[in-house]
Amino acid sequence: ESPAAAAFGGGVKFGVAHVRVALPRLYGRVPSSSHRAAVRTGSGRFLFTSVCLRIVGSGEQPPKFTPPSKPVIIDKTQTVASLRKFLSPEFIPPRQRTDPFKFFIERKDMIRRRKVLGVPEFYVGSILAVTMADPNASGKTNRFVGICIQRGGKGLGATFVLRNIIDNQGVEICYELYNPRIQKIDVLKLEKRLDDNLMYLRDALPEYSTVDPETKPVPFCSTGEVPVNKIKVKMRPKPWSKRWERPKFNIQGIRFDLALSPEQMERAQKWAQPWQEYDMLKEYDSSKLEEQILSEVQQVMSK
Amino acid sequence: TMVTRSVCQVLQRNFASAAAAARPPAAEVHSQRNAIFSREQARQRALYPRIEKIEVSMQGPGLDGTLLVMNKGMSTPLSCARHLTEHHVTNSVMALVDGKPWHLHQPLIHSCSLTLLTFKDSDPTLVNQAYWRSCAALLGQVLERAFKDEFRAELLSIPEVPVTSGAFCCDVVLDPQLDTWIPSEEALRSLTRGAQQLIHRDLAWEPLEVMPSVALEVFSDSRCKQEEVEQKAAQCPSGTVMLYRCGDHVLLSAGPLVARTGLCSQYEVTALHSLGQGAWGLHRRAQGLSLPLQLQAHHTVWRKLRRRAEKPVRTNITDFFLTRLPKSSDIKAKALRPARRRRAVSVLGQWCGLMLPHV
Amino acid sequence: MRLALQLLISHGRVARRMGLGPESRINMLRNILTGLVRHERIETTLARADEVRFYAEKLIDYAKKGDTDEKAMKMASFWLTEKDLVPKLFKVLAPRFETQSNGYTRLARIPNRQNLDRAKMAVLEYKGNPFPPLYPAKKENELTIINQLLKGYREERAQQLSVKV
Repeated sequence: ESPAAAAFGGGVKFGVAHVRVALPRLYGRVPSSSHRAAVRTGSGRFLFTSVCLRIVGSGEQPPKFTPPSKPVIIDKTQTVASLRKFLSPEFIPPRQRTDPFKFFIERKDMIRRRKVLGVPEFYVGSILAVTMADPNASGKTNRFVGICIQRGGKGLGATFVLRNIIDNQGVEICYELYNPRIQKIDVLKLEKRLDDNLMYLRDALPEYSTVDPETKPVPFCSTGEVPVNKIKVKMRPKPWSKRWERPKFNIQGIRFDLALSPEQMERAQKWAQPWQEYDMLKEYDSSKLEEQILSEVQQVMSK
Repeated sequence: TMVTRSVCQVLQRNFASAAAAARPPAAEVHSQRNAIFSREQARQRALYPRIEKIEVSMQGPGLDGTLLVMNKGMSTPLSCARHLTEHHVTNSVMALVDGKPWHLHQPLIHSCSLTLLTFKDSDPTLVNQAYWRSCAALLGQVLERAFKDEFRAELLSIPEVPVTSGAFCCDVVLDPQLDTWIPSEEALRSLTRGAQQLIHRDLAWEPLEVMPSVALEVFSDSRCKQEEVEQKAAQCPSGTVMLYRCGDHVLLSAGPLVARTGLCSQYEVTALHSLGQGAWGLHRRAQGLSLPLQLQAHHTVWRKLRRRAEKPVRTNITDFFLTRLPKSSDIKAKALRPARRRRAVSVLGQWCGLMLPHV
Repeated sequence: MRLALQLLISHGRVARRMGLGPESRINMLRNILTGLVRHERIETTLARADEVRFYAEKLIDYAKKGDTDEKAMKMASFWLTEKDLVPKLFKVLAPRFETQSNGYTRLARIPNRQNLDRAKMAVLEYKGNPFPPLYPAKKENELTIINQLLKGYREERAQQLSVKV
């Protein structure tokens, strides 16, 4: 690990290309922005910031407003969880020969952590704000807002990557979901995108990955399907970090018609593997396992 | 009547022991029997001085249509099997000649159809019965040779018991001096070992069909055998009796025997029960359990079968009052030949933990 | 050393590399599987038979979903290169294995190929086919000497138990 990353925080990793310039600035900036957000939102919509206020601990607000609002929110999230039947993807063990008991043990630890830190439901494409303990920051915490572009890892080592553009510099932070230094994860906007991996945002125009750090949480529907944002992004001219037009990525959320000529698109089809979907050897049907784990998790969480 | 009977018995026993004192030693008896058997065998072979050909049509799985040209009075079913495969040679137990059981070593005397029987046939009842009889014959042979010269063991007729009864048995009258002897585990094991030596030598049972006069000559020294010969000759429609020879032991048999001793694999003498006083003295019944090489049992199964084979087997012919003698013996192995006894003891020392968990 | 270790540990490699590449492999297996569905018993090299076996069983699993199922129909029409076999799969094979949940096929080794190369050969078949059995039927003979002894033993035990009761 580089010394810079160590200074910023052991559990925080950076996007490969974008971190060089951003480090010193970000270091000074992120905590102050979160602080500002807390102060300002307190006078505005108390309903959604009360939790934030409590954690940041800026006690300038009159306390009489906060108590009634707090239970309302918690109730709402709980009903959401119960209504939608969501199982975080890191609970599903990968397809391999490892002893299932190993995953069972890990699940137990994950649930214990989840009982302390309410890990909300979120997807790739959702906008999150993560508050993390940071001994070097003022106020000892560090808040980062960004769009989740990837979820990875299974079990206790599950990660998610947040991306944002700060001072025209792309910043990606890879958080470990069960890192004990994470103090709070807020979903500012719950939505899905057309793809399960938004790494192509690195090669897209910066406006698509820019999120205002002071965004207010958007109330989301507690029942039914999670809304899908069908936005198609415009890309910067080639070369890209990867050839996103290739069939193996199966990207839906890029406007290829603006970036590539039809001939180029046709040429990319050379790498298509249409037989893959018929290869039963590659199938991994985890639906039964998922149900089983979901019931197990719900049972333990309700205790 | 009771008194007269007991007096008779005592007299008879005295007579028997006096006869024993006057009797020639066992080795001489055996060699004499052997000599007569060989002489008769040679005589019968000499009946066919010219080689004549007979046609033997083989029957059995994969053999239909096989026709063998063999020598009359010379070729046996075994020599037919030798013309086929090694499997037939090793696995054949008996033969059926024109539907009649035929010993594997008995020469064929006319053109016939031949079926070789094995233990694994679809209906091996005949073979099983012959095997059981052969095991009993082997047991008799062992019993006769197991004792020292001064103790005479007289074999009675072999009782026919079905296989389902769990054990084959062989009736024997031992020397009157041994009437109080109770065989120990060790003694039984020594008998087992004697039988296994015979099995290891893979001796053939040579059949010989003789007139009763020859048989009486063979058993000229044994009164009870002579009676048995007469009985058998009377039962047989042709008036002949079958003699068998295994090694140097000549015996009478009620039915066909299997080809050779090597067909036995697992063999154990399990018990020697006392049947009570009979016509020839104290009748004893030796029992044993055996399985052929082709059908061996797992040791757990064997242990169960063996435990069952220790129980006295009842037969319809001899409904004696079975008595089990109390367990105490001080003469026990004294009567057995010293060399055998020593070997039995050494074997006992080696395998004590394995074979005798309860001793 | 490294090579040996890699060979020993599968590292998630579940498929053999055969043919001229992944596409060629799948096409080859399709052809063999079509032959298997048509003839119900085929003879091929051991590796190919072993590879096809998985797909043959999975195809039956799909066929059990019925011909109204979209995915099942797609799979059947992909794997059976001769389309007249699709009804056979759904109407004959699927009902045959209704009571079973796995193990629809049987694989048996046969002597190595002699003419072309010395490849290991095998026979693959769907169970319940009309051909004579691959393995000889095991027959239990109640009349063999050991079974007779055991029969006597059992009868005696039963008698003892009944006396006790």
